Amino acid sequence: MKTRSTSVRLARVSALGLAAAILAAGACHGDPGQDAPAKTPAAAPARQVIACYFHRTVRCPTCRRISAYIEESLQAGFAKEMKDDRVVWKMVDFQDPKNQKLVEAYKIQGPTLVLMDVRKGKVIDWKPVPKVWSLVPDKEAFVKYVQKEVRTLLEKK
Amino acid sequence: MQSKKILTAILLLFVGFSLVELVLKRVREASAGPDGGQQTASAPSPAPSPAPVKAEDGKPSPGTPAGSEAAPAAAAEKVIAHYFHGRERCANCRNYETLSREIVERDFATHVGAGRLEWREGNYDEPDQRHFDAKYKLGRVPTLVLVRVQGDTELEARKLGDGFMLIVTGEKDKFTEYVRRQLQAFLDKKPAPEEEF
Repeated sequence: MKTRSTSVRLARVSALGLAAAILAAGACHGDPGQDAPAKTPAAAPARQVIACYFHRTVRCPTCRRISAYIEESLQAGFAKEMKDDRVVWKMVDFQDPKNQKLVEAYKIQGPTLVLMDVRKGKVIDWKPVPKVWSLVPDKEAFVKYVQKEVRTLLEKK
Repeated sequence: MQSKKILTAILLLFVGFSLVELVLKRVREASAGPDGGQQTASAPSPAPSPAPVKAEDGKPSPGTPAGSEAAPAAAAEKVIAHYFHGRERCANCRNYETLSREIVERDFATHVGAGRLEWREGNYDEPDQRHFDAKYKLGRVPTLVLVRVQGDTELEARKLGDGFMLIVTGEKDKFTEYVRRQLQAFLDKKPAPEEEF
Protein backbone atom coordinates (compact mmCIF):
# COMPACT_ATOMS: atom_id res chain seq x y z
CA MET A 1 0.00 0.00 0.00
CA LYS A 2 2.84 2.42 0.92
CA THR A 3 4.50 1.64 -2.42
CA ARG A 4 1.19 2.25 -4.23
CA SER A 5 0.57 5.66 -2.64
CA THR A 6 4.16 6.69 -3.48
CA SER A 7 3.58 5.69 -7.10
CA VAL A 8 0.35 7.66 -7.19
CA ARG A 9 2.13 10.73 -5.79
CA LEU A 10 4.89 10.40 -8.36
CA ALA A 11 2.33 10.06 -11.14
CA ARG A 12 0.55 13.20 -9.94
CA VAL A 13 3.78 15.19 -9.79
CA SER A 14 4.59 14.07 -13.33
CA ALA A 15 1.11 14.99 -14.47
CA LEU A 16 1.56 18.45 -12.93
CA GLY A 17 4.61 19.02 -15.08
CA LEU A 18 2.88 17.62 -18.11
CA ALA A 19 -0.16 19.86 -17.67
CA ALA A 20 2.19 22.82 -17.60
CA ALA A 21 3.89 21.49 -20.73
CA ILE A 22 0.57 21.12 -22.52
CA LEU A 23 -0.55 24.60 -21.61
CA ALA A 24 2.76 26.21 -22.47
CA ALA A 25 3.22 24.38 -25.76
CA GLY A 26 -0.29 24.95 -26.99
CA ALA A 27 -1.79 22.54 -29.49
CA CYS A 28 0.60 20.37 -31.46
CA HIS A 29 -1.42 19.73 -34.57
CA GLY A 30 -1.02 16.86 -36.95
CA ASP A 31 -3.15 18.47 -39.62
CA PRO A 32 -2.24 21.69 -41.40
CA GLY A 33 -4.71 24.52 -41.53
CA GLN A 34 -6.05 24.10 -37.99
CA ASP A 35 -6.97 27.16 -35.91
CA ALA A 36 -4.16 28.73 -33.91
CA PRO A 37 -3.98 27.53 -30.33
CA ALA A 38 -5.58 29.68 -27.65
CA LYS A 39 -3.27 32.14 -25.92
CA THR A 40 -2.13 31.04 -22.51
CA PRO A 41 -3.49 33.65 -20.07
CA ALA A 42 -1.06 35.44 -17.77
CA ALA A 43 -2.90 34.01 -14.77
CA ALA A 44 -4.63 30.66 -15.38
CA PRO A 45 -8.12 30.30 -13.90
CA ALA A 46 -8.32 28.53 -10.52
CA ARG A 47 -9.74 25.52 -12.23
CA GLN A 48 -9.78 24.31 -15.79
CA VAL A 49 -10.82 21.32 -17.78
CA ILE A 50 -8.49 20.48 -20.63
CA ALA A 51 -10.04 18.37 -23.38
CA CYS A 52 -7.03 16.91 -25.14
CA TYR A 53 -7.46 14.74 -28.23
CA PHE A 54 -4.49 12.54 -29.01
CA HIS A 55 -4.30 11.52 -32.67
CA ARG A 56 -1.97 9.90 -35.18
CA THR A 57 0.06 11.92 -37.66
CA VAL A 58 -1.91 10.52 -40.59
CA ARG A 59 -5.57 10.60 -39.74
CA CYS A 60 -8.45 8.53 -41.05
CA PRO A 61 -11.84 10.12 -41.83
CA THR A 62 -13.36 8.83 -38.58
CA CYS A 63 -10.57 10.32 -36.49
CA ARG A 64 -10.97 13.68 -38.23
CA ARG A 65 -14.70 13.55 -37.67
CA ILE A 66 -14.25 12.80 -33.97
CA SER A 67 -12.02 15.81 -33.35
CA ALA A 68 -14.43 18.02 -35.29
CA TYR A 69 -17.36 16.76 -33.22
CA ILE A 70 -15.47 17.26 -29.95
CA GLU A 71 -14.62 20.82 -30.87
CA GLU A 72 -18.25 21.47 -31.84
CA SER A 73 -19.47 19.95 -28.57
CA LEU A 74 -17.19 22.20 -26.53
CA GLN A 75 -18.01 25.34 -28.45
CA ALA A 76 -21.74 24.65 -28.28
CA GLY A 77 -21.80 23.73 -24.60
CA PHE A 78 -18.99 25.84 -23.11
CA ALA A 79 -18.57 28.95 -25.23
CA LYS A 80 -18.22 31.21 -22.18
CA GLU A 81 -15.89 28.84 -20.38
CA MET A 82 -13.71 28.50 -23.48
CA LYS A 83 -13.49 32.27 -23.79
CA ASP A 84 -12.07 32.61 -20.30
CA ASP A 85 -9.98 29.44 -20.58
CA ARG A 86 -11.89 27.43 -18.02
CA VAL A 87 -12.38 24.87 -20.77
CA VAL A 88 -9.42 24.38 -23.06
CA TRP A 89 -9.32 22.38 -26.30
CA LYS A 90 -6.06 20.78 -27.36
CA MET A 91 -4.94 18.32 -30.00
CA VAL A 92 -1.73 16.32 -29.72
CA ASP A 93 -0.05 14.13 -32.33
CA PHE A 94 0.95 11.16 -30.19
CA GLN A 95 3.28 9.86 -32.90
CA ASP A 96 5.38 13.01 -32.76
CA PRO A 97 8.51 12.16 -30.74
CA LYS A 98 8.38 15.46 -28.87
CA ASN A 99 5.07 14.38 -27.31
CA GLN A 100 6.30 11.03 -26.04
CA LYS A 101 6.25 12.03 -22.38
CA LEU A 102 2.62 12.94 -22.66
CA VAL A 103 1.89 9.64 -24.39
CA GLU A 104 3.54 7.71 -21.56
CA ALA A 105 1.91 9.73 -18.82
CA TYR A 106 -1.59 9.34 -20.22
CA LYS A 107 -1.02 5.77 -21.44
CA ILE A 108 -2.02 6.59 -25.00
CA GLN A 109 -2.37 3.55 -27.26
CA GLY A 110 -4.53 5.00 -29.97
CA PRO A 111 -6.52 8.09 -30.87
CA THR A 112 -8.20 9.09 -27.60
CA LEU A 113 -9.88 12.01 -25.95
CA VAL A 114 -8.49 12.68 -22.47
CA LEU A 115 -10.15 15.09 -20.05
CA MET A 116 -7.92 16.69 -17.41
CA ASP A 117 -9.09 18.29 -14.19
CA VAL A 118 -6.67 21.14 -13.56
CA ARG A 119 -6.61 23.15 -10.29
CA LYS A 120 -4.24 26.11 -9.96
CA GLY A 121 -2.20 24.80 -12.86
CA LYS A 122 -1.92 21.22 -11.54
CA VAL A 123 -3.60 18.19 -13.07
CA ILE A 124 -5.26 16.56 -10.11
CA ASP A 125 -7.19 13.99 -12.11
CA TRP A 126 -7.65 12.82 -15.67
CA LYS A 127 -9.74 10.31 -17.53
CA PRO A 128 -9.73 8.82 -21.01
CA VAL A 129 -13.04 9.08 -22.84
CA PRO A 130 -12.83 6.36 -25.52
CA LYS A 131 -16.60 5.99 -25.85
CA VAL A 132 -16.49 8.80 -28.41
CA TRP A 133 -15.50 6.11 -30.93
CA SER A 134 -18.72 4.19 -30.32
CA LEU A 135 -20.88 7.31 -30.50
CA VAL A 136 -19.60 8.75 -33.79
CA PRO A 137 -22.57 7.36 -35.79
CA ASP A 138 -24.98 9.29 -33.53
CA LYS A 139 -23.81 12.89 -33.43
CA GLU A 140 -26.49 14.03 -30.99
CA ALA A 141 -25.53 11.31 -28.50
CA PHE A 142 -21.85 12.12 -29.08
CA VAL A 143 -22.28 15.81 -28.28
CA LYS A 144 -24.40 15.09 -25.19
CA TYR A 145 -21.84 12.60 -23.92
CA VAL A 146 -18.81 14.87 -24.32
CA GLN A 147 -20.64 17.82 -22.78
CA LYS A 148 -21.78 15.70 -19.85
CA GLU A 149 -18.25 14.44 -19.19
CA VAL A 150 -16.78 17.92 -19.31
CA ARG A 151 -19.55 19.37 -17.13
CA THR A 152 -19.01 16.63 -14.55
CA LEU A 153 -15.37 17.57 -14.26
CA LEU A 154 -16.10 21.30 -14.17
CA GLU A 155 -18.62 20.85 -11.37
CA LYS A 156 -16.58 18.32 -9.44
CA LYS A 157 -15.71 19.48 -5.95
CA MET B 1 -56.68 -70.21 -65.21
CA GLN B 2 -52.93 -70.48 -64.99
CA SER B 3 -52.49 -67.18 -66.78
CA LYS B 4 -55.04 -65.58 -64.49
CA LYS B 5 -53.02 -66.66 -61.47
CA ILE B 6 -49.82 -65.32 -63.03
CA LEU B 7 -51.47 -62.01 -63.83
CA THR B 8 -52.83 -61.75 -60.28
CA ALA B 9 -49.37 -62.46 -58.87
CA ILE B 10 -47.78 -59.81 -61.06
CA LEU B 11 -50.38 -57.25 -60.06
CA LEU B 12 -49.95 -58.08 -56.38
CA LEU B 13 -46.17 -57.76 -56.73
CA PHE B 14 -46.60 -54.38 -58.42
CA VAL B 15 -48.83 -53.14 -55.60
CA GLY B 16 -46.41 -54.49 -53.03
CA PHE B 17 -43.41 -52.74 -54.62
CA SER B 18 -45.36 -49.48 -54.82
CA LEU B 19 -46.26 -49.63 -51.15
CA VAL B 20 -42.66 -50.40 -50.15
CA GLU B 21 -41.41 -47.49 -52.21
CA LEU B 22 -43.94 -45.15 -50.65
CA VAL B 23 -42.93 -46.21 -47.14
CA LEU B 24 -39.20 -45.81 -47.92
CA LYS B 25 -39.81 -42.35 -49.34
CA ARG B 26 -41.61 -41.20 -46.15
CA VAL B 27 -38.84 -42.65 -43.98
CA ARG B 28 -36.16 -40.81 -45.99
CA GLU B 29 -38.01 -37.49 -45.65
CA ALA B 30 -38.52 -37.96 -41.92
CA SER B 31 -34.84 -38.74 -41.27
CA ALA B 32 -33.64 -35.67 -43.26
CA GLY B 33 -34.53 -33.37 -40.29
CA PRO B 34 -36.56 -30.14 -39.78
CA ASP B 35 -34.47 -28.08 -42.20
CA GLY B 36 -35.08 -30.40 -45.02
CA GLY B 37 -31.51 -31.72 -44.82
CA GLN B 38 -29.85 -28.57 -46.18
CA GLN B 39 -26.84 -28.57 -43.81
CA THR B 40 -23.63 -29.52 -45.45
CA ALA B 41 -20.10 -29.86 -44.27
CA SER B 42 -18.72 -28.02 -47.24
CA ALA B 43 -17.73 -24.37 -47.43
CA PRO B 44 -20.52 -21.82 -47.01
CA SER B 45 -22.64 -21.36 -50.12
CA PRO B 46 -25.43 -19.03 -51.17
CA ALA B 47 -28.89 -19.65 -49.72
CA PRO B 48 -29.66 -23.34 -50.26
CA SER B 49 -32.54 -24.29 -52.52
CA PRO B 50 -35.22 -26.71 -51.32
CA ALA B 51 -34.61 -30.44 -51.82
CA PRO B 52 -36.15 -31.70 -55.05
CA VAL B 53 -39.19 -33.87 -54.50
CA LYS B 54 -39.92 -34.85 -58.04
CA ALA B 55 -38.27 -37.35 -60.34
CA GLU B 56 -35.92 -35.95 -62.93
CA ASP B 57 -38.58 -35.80 -65.61
CA GLY B 58 -40.60 -33.52 -63.35
CA LYS B 59 -43.40 -36.06 -62.94
CA PRO B 60 -44.33 -37.53 -59.60
CA SER B 61 -42.50 -40.72 -58.73
CA PRO B 62 -44.26 -43.93 -59.79
CA GLY B 63 -46.60 -45.16 -57.16
CA THR B 64 -46.87 -41.79 -55.44
CA PRO B 65 -50.55 -41.05 -55.06
CA ALA B 66 -51.56 -37.84 -56.80
CA GLY B 67 -51.52 -34.74 -54.56
CA SER B 68 -49.30 -36.27 -51.91
CA GLU B 69 -45.96 -34.67 -52.97
CA ALA B 70 -43.97 -33.26 -49.98
CA ALA B 71 -43.81 -29.41 -49.79
CA PRO B 72 -40.36 -27.96 -50.63
CA ALA B 73 -38.24 -27.64 -47.46
CA ALA B 74 -37.72 -24.01 -46.23
CA ALA B 75 -34.23 -22.51 -46.73
CA ALA B 76 -32.07 -22.86 -43.63
CA GLU B 77 -31.27 -19.83 -41.51
CA LYS B 78 -27.71 -18.69 -41.31
CA VAL B 79 -25.77 -15.86 -39.72
CA ILE B 80 -23.54 -13.57 -41.70
CA ALA B 81 -20.76 -11.76 -39.84
CA HIS B 82 -20.54 -8.77 -42.13
CA TYR B 83 -17.65 -6.34 -41.67
CA PHE B 84 -18.18 -2.95 -43.26
CA HIS B 85 -15.44 -0.44 -43.95
CA GLY B 86 -14.81 2.57 -46.16
CA ARG B 87 -12.44 3.17 -49.02
CA GLU B 88 -9.87 4.92 -46.85
CA ARG B 89 -8.59 2.41 -44.37
CA CYS B 90 -6.30 3.00 -41.41
CA ALA B 91 -4.39 0.40 -39.40
CA ASN B 92 -7.23 0.18 -36.86
CA CYS B 93 -9.76 -0.65 -39.54
CA ARG B 94 -7.55 -3.40 -40.95
CA ASN B 95 -6.88 -4.80 -37.47
CA TYR B 96 -10.59 -4.83 -36.76
CA GLU B 97 -11.21 -6.90 -39.87
CA THR B 98 -8.31 -9.30 -39.29
CA LEU B 99 -9.18 -9.96 -35.65
CA SER B 100 -12.91 -10.33 -36.28
CA ARG B 101 -12.36 -12.74 -39.12
CA GLU B 102 -9.95 -14.79 -37.03
CA ILE B 103 -12.48 -15.03 -34.23
CA VAL B 104 -15.27 -16.08 -36.57
CA GLU B 105 -13.29 -18.66 -38.50
CA ARG B 106 -11.30 -20.06 -35.59
CA ASP B 107 -13.63 -19.89 -32.57
CA PHE B 108 -16.79 -20.68 -34.50
CA ALA B 109 -15.28 -23.10 -37.01
CA THR B 110 -18.02 -25.69 -36.43
CA HIS B 111 -20.73 -23.23 -37.34
CA VAL B 112 -18.77 -22.04 -40.37
CA GLY B 113 -18.15 -25.60 -41.54
CA ALA B 114 -21.83 -26.46 -41.21
CA GLY B 115 -22.85 -23.46 -43.26
CA ARG B 116 -24.59 -21.77 -40.31
CA LEU B 117 -22.13 -18.88 -40.17
CA GLU B 118 -20.40 -16.98 -42.91
CA TRP B 119 -17.84 -14.17 -43.01
CA ARG B 120 -18.31 -11.28 -45.42
CA GLU B 121 -16.70 -7.89 -45.85
CA GLY B 122 -18.21 -4.88 -47.56
CA ASN B 123 -17.29 -1.32 -48.48
CA TYR B 124 -19.93 1.30 -47.70
CA ASP B 125 -18.21 3.73 -50.08
CA GLU B 126 -18.99 1.48 -53.05
CA PRO B 127 -22.12 2.64 -54.90
CA ASP B 128 -23.83 -0.75 -54.67
CA GLN B 129 -23.18 -1.00 -50.91
CA ARG B 130 -23.76 2.57 -49.85
CA HIS B 131 -27.26 1.72 -48.63
CA PHE B 132 -25.84 -0.45 -45.84
CA ASP B 133 -24.52 2.66 -44.10
CA ALA B 134 -28.02 4.06 -43.56
CA LYS B 135 -29.62 0.64 -43.11
CA TYR B 136 -27.38 -0.37 -40.21
CA LYS B 137 -26.70 3.20 -38.99
CA LEU B 138 -22.96 2.75 -39.38
CA GLY B 139 -22.24 6.48 -39.51
CA ARG B 140 -19.45 5.56 -41.93
CA VAL B 141 -17.50 3.95 -39.11
CA PRO B 142 -15.94 0.52 -39.69
CA THR B 143 -18.31 -1.88 -37.97
CA LEU B 144 -19.05 -5.58 -37.65
CA VAL B 145 -22.74 -6.33 -38.15
CA LEU B 146 -24.32 -9.73 -37.43
CA VAL B 147 -27.16 -10.55 -39.80
CA ARG B 148 -29.52 -13.52 -39.64
CA VAL B 149 -30.90 -14.53 -43.02
CA GLN B 150 -33.17 -17.19 -44.38
CA GLY B 151 -32.61 -17.54 -48.07
CA ASP B 152 -32.69 -14.00 -49.38
CA THR B 153 -34.71 -12.65 -46.47
CA GLU B 154 -33.05 -10.78 -43.67
CA LEU B 155 -34.62 -11.72 -40.35
CA GLU B 156 -32.55 -9.76 -37.85
CA ALA B 157 -29.42 -7.62 -37.63
CA ARG B 158 -27.26 -6.59 -34.71
CA LYS B 159 -24.49 -4.01 -34.88
CA LEU B 160 -21.39 -4.40 -32.68
CA GLY B 161 -21.07 -0.69 -32.01
CA ASP B 162 -18.25 -0.86 -29.45
CA GLY B 163 -15.84 -2.86 -31.59
CA PHE B 164 -13.95 0.03 -33.10
CA MET B 165 -13.48 1.70 -29.72
CA LEU B 166 -11.83 -1.45 -28.31
CA ILE B 167 -9.58 -1.73 -31.33
CA VAL B 168 -8.53 1.91 -31.17
CA THR B 169 -7.72 1.68 -27.46
CA GLY B 170 -5.59 -1.42 -28.08
CA GLU B 171 -7.74 -3.67 -25.91
CA LYS B 172 -7.38 -6.80 -27.99
CA ASP B 173 -8.44 -9.23 -25.25
CA LYS B 174 -11.55 -7.22 -24.43
CA PHE B 175 -12.33 -6.97 -28.12
CA THR B 176 -12.00 -10.74 -28.60
CA GLU B 177 -14.28 -11.47 -25.65
CA TYR B 178 -16.77 -8.87 -26.82
CA VAL B 179 -17.06 -10.32 -30.32
CA ARG B 180 -17.23 -13.91 -29.03
CA ARG B 181 -19.90 -13.05 -26.47
CA GLN B 182 -22.07 -11.08 -28.89
CA LEU B 183 -21.73 -13.61 -31.71
CA GLN B 184 -22.54 -16.57 -29.47
CA ALA B 185 -25.65 -14.78 -28.14
CA PHE B 186 -26.74 -13.98 -31.67
CA LEU B 187 -26.24 -17.56 -32.85
CA ASP B 188 -28.24 -18.76 -29.84
CA LYS B 189 -30.98 -16.20 -30.64
CA LYS B 190 -30.52 -14.55 -27.26
CA PRO B 191 -30.67 -10.80 -26.54
CA ALA B 192 -27.42 -8.86 -26.87
CA PRO B 193 -25.46 -9.10 -23.60
CA GLU B 194 -25.08 -5.79 -21.79
CA GLU B 195 -21.59 -4.44 -22.10
CA GLU B 196 -19.77 -2.05 -19.78
CA PHE B 197 -16.73 -0.36 -21.24
